[in-house]
Amino acid sequence: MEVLLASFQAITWKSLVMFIIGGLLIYLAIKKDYEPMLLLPIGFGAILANIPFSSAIGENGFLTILYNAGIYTELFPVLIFIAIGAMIDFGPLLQQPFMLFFGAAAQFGIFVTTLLARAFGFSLKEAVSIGIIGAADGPTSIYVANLFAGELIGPITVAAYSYMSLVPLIQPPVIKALTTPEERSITMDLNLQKVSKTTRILFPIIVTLVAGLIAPMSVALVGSLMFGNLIRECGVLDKLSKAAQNELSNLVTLLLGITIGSTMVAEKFLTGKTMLILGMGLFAFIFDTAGGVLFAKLLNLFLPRKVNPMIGAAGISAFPMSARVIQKIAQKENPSNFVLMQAVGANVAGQVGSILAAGVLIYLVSALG
Amino acid sequence: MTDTIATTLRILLQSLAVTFFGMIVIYSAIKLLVKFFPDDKEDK
Repeated sequence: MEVLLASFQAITWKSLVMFIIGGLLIYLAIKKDYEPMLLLPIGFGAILANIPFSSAIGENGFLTILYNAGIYTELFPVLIFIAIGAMIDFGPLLQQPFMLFFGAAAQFGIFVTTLLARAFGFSLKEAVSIGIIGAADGPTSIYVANLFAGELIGPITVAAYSYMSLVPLIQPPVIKALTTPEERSITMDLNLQKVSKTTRILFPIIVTLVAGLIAPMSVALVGSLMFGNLIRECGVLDKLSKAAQNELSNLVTLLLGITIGSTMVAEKFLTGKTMLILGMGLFAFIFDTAGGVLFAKLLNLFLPRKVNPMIGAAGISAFPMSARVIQKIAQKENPSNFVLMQAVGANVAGQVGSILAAGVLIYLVSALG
Repeated sequence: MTDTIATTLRILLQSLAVTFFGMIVIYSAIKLLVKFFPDDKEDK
C-alpha cells in the first residue's frame, strides 16, 4: 500500500502547476489550434516528466534517450529543416530578390532581445539563446538553445512556438501603430517575372555555398534546409520530396515535441527565468515586426516606387502565417490590394535570414570561448 | 570569455552586418541566376 501511495505523497505543488501547464498547452493546441503539432506533444511530455518517479525520464527513460539522441545531438532540428526545405517554394523570393533585405531587417528582434536579456543579468550565451526566439523559427531556437543554454531549452521552445502561433494577434497592432492607412494601401507590382527551373535548382546550392562560406556554423541549418529544397525542385525525387514533407516532418515533429516537453521538469521550469523568457519572447516578435516595417519605411524615402511597408513585417520567418496576416490587413485597407506574393517572398527570405543570423551569432559567440 | 555588455553589442552589430552582407551576396547571386537562366525548355 505504501508503494502505491508513494507517488501521491511525492506530488508537490510544483508538479501540480506543471500538470496544469501541460494541460493548458494541450487545451491551446486542441481548442485554439495554436501550433497543435508541437504544443500538444510538448504539453503531454511535460505531464509525463512531472509524474513522481516517472519511468519516462531518467537514465533509461525513453524521453531521455530521445533527448540524448535527437536534441542533444541537434539531429531533430536538422531533420525538421530538411522537411521545411521540401515544403518551401522559393519562387516568390526568386521573382523579387529585393525581399531578402526584409528577411534580414525583421531579425531586429533577435538583437534587441539579446541586449534586453543581458540587461536582466543573463549570460551572453543564455541571452543569445533567448534572443533567437526572435528568429521566429522553432528548430533554430532549439538548435541554438541546446548549444548555449540547454537548461533553458524548455521555456525557449514553448515561447518560440507559442508566439509563432500568436502572430495574427501580435503583428497587426504593431503594424497599425507604425503605418498610416495610406501606407497600408500601397499596391505592389503584380507583373512578376517567371523563374526558370535551372534557377530554382541552382538557388539552394548557391545559398548553401554562400551562407556556408560566410558563416560556417550555419551549414547544418542552411544545408539541411536547402537540401530539402533541392529535393523538391530537382524534379526527379518526387517520392523523397513528399516523404520529407509528410512522413519525415510528422514523425520528427512528434518526437521533437514530446522530447522538449520532457525537459519541462518543475524544478527547472518554474523559475523567474521562465517568466522572463516568456515575456522577452513576446518582445522579440514585436521588435521583429517593428524592425521590418521601419526598414521598409526607410527604404521608401529613397525608392522611386514605394513599397507597402507592411511587407517588411512579413520578413519574420513565421511562414506562411505572417504573409497571410499582411495580405489580410492590406485587403482591409483596400479590398483590391493583393500583396500576398511579395509578403510570401519576404516571409521565405525571413527563413533564410533567421538561419544566417543564427549561424553568424553561433560563430561569433563560440569564438569567444 | 569577456562577457560584458560591450562584447554583446559588438557581437550583435557584427552579426547584423554579416547577415546583411550575406543577403547582399545572395541577392546578387539570384540576380545573376535570373539573368543567365531566364527560361528553360521544360517551362515552355
